[in-house]
Amino acid sequence: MTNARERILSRIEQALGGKVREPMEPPGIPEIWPPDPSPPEALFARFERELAAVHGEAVRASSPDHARARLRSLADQFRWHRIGYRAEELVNKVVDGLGIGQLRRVDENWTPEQVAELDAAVVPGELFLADTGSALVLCRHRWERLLYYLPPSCVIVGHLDRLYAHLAAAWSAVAAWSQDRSTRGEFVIITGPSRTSDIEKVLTLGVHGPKQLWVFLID
Amino acid sequence: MKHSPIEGAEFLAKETKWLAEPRGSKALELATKRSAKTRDQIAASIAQWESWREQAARIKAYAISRLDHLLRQFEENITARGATVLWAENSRQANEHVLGIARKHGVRLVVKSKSMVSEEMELNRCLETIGVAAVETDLGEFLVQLAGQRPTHIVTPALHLSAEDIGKMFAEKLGEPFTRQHEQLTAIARRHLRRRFLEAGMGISGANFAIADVGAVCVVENEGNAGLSMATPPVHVVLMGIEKVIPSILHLPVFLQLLARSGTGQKLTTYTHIIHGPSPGQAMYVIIVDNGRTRVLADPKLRSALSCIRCGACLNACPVYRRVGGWAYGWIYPGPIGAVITPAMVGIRKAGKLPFASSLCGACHEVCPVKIDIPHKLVYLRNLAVTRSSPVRSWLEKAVWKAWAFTMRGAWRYKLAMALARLGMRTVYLLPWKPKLLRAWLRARNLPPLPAGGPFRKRWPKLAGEAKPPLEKST
Repeated sequence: MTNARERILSRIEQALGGKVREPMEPPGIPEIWPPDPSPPEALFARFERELAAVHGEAVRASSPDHARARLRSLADQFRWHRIGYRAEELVNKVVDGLGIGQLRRVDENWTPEQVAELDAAVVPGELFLADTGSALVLCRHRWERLLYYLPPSCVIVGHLDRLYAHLAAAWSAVAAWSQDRSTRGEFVIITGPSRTSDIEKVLTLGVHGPKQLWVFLID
Repeated sequence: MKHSPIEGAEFLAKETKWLAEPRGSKALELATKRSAKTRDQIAASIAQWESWREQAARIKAYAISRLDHLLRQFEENITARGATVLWAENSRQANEHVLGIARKHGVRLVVKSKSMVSEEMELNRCLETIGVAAVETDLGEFLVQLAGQRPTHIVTPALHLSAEDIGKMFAEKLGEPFTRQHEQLTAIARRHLRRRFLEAGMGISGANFAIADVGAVCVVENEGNAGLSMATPPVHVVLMGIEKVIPSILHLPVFLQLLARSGTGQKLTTYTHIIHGPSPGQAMYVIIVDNGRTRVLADPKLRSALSCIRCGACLNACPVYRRVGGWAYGWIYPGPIGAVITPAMVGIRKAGKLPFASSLCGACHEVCPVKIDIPHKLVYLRNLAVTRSSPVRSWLEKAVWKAWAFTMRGAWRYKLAMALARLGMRTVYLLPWKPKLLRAWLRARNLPPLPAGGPFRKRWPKLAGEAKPPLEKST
C-alpha cells in the first residue's frame, strides 16, 4: 500500500495547487488565559471546588504521614481489601506503613485481570490544574495505564507545588515531555471519575473507569 | 438496520417514520435544546471565547493548507516512537489494513471506542467476515449496536433510547433482570464490557487530533472506554482521517478548551489521552484514511469543512436536526455538518438532497468552535445540486416543473389543475393505496384543510370589497 500513501499525498498537493503555494503565516501559540498569580491557598481552594463539581474529592495533606492517615480512613470506610500502588517516591512515602495486609506494589508482571481485581489504586500525578480540577499523569507502561482505569477507586497523589492555575499555565511542561523523543505511552489528563450521560442524558459515574476519585496534594 | 455506504443520503428518503414517533422525537429535541443552552451560557461567560474560536480556525486553516507536509511530519515522528503508519485511499483499503493486522496478531475479538472513520468503513461487518467479533465499548455505541441500530447523534449516540427500552433490551439480549434504573443499567454494561476488554486481542480508537511536531495522537472521552481500548489489548489501531492533523503540541490546548465546552458543556473531558507511540510490549498502528476527503479539499469553497472537530454543537443548535434526528441524514455524519461533508465526500450525485435539509438560520455557524461557515457551504452545494446531475434533478422533479409551467400558461389549464387538486385533497384519505411520496408525508401529517368559500379568485371580489381603505387605481 505504499502507493496509497503517494497517491493520497499527490492528491492533496494537487488539491492545494501544487508544490508552490500562497505563503501563509504559521499560526502562533494561542493565548488561552492570562497568567494567574494566585497563591497556593487560592489555587487549592479552586482546585477543590472544581474537582467536587465533577464528583471527585481533593485532599490537602501537610505531609505524607497525614496523607497516609487519610488513605487509611478511606480504606476502612470503603472496605478496600486489595489496594495496588505504582511505586514512585511520593506514593511510596504515603503507602509505607499503611498497615493494610493486601497492599500490593503493581509492576510489569501484573496481568490486566489482576489489576482489574483491585479495589483501589494509589498512583502518582505529575501536575494538577486548578480551574478544571484535573490531574495529569504520565504512563509509559501498559500496567501503569491500566491502574488508572481498571480499579473502581483511584487515589492520585502529587505535590501541591505542581498545582497550576490552568491548562495553559502547565502546558510548557507538558509540551517539553511530549517533545522528548524518548517519551512512550500516554499522558492522561484526568478530570473527575469516569462518567456517562448516554442514557437519557442522566449523569452516571463509573461506567468503565473508577467510580470514585481522590486527589491528594501534599505540601 | 441496513447500512450501506451511501444509504439514505437522500435526506429523509427512508427514515420518515422517526418523525411520527413523538416520544423519541421529543426526547431528542429536549436533550439537544438543553445541550445548546449550556453551550451558549458557557460561551457567554468566557471573555476569550471569540478569540479562541478565531485562533482555532486559523490553526486549522493553516493545517489544511499544509496538509501534505504535516502528514509527512506526523508519520515520521510517530514512526520514530515505534508506531506503524499505514495509508488508505478508501474504506476498502482501510478495512484490508485492519483485517491484515487482525490476522497477523491472531485476533479473535476487537474492542472499539468511538470512531467515525470506522463507521464510514463499516468495519464491524468487515471484521465479521473473517470471524472476528467487534464490540463497541462507548456506552451509547454499545446500546445502538445491541439494538441493531445506528447512532442518532455523534456525541450521544443512543439519545433516542429510553431507560425502559434499554432495560428491556438488556433483559432480552443479555439475560439480565429488567431494570430502568440508570445506575443499574450502567453497571450491567460495565460488567459485560469489562470482560470484553480483558479478552480482546485488539483495541481500535479514533483520533481527535494527530500532532505533527511530536508524533502523538490525542483522544478525548468521558467514560474511560477509550483508555481501556487503547491500553488493555496488546494491539492498538488508530483510525484517523487525513484532516485530523494539527501542526504542534503547542496548538492543542485551544482545541481542548473549545471541544469539551462545545460538545458536552464540560470544561475538559474526563479523560484527555495523548498517546506517544506504543507502550513497551504493545503494537500500535495508525491508519491514515482519505475516503473522499481529498475531494473536499479540492474544492476551495468546501475545504474549510475539513476543520470540523466533531463536537456536535451544530447538531444541537439546528432546528431541523432537533426534529428529524440523525438517521434522517442517511449516512454517518448527521446535522448541518453532515449535510455539508456527506455530499462533499460522496458526491452531489449521491447526496444532493442533504444540503436542502436546513432552514439556513445560521445557528450552526454561530456555534461552530472553528467557525465553519456551514450556511454558505449549504447554499453552494444547493447550487451544485440544481445545476449538476443529482437527486434534486430527478425525472420526477423535471416532470413536475414541466407540468407546472404548462399549467401556468393558460387560465383554463390553471383552473382545471386547481379543481383537480381540491378534489385530490378531499378524497386522498379514501384511497386504498397512496403514491409513495404522499404516503411518507401522510404518515406523520394531515393535509391542510381547504379554505371555506371555494377558490381564492371567487373569494377575491368580496375580500377586496372589505379591504379598508379601498384600493386606489394607480394612474
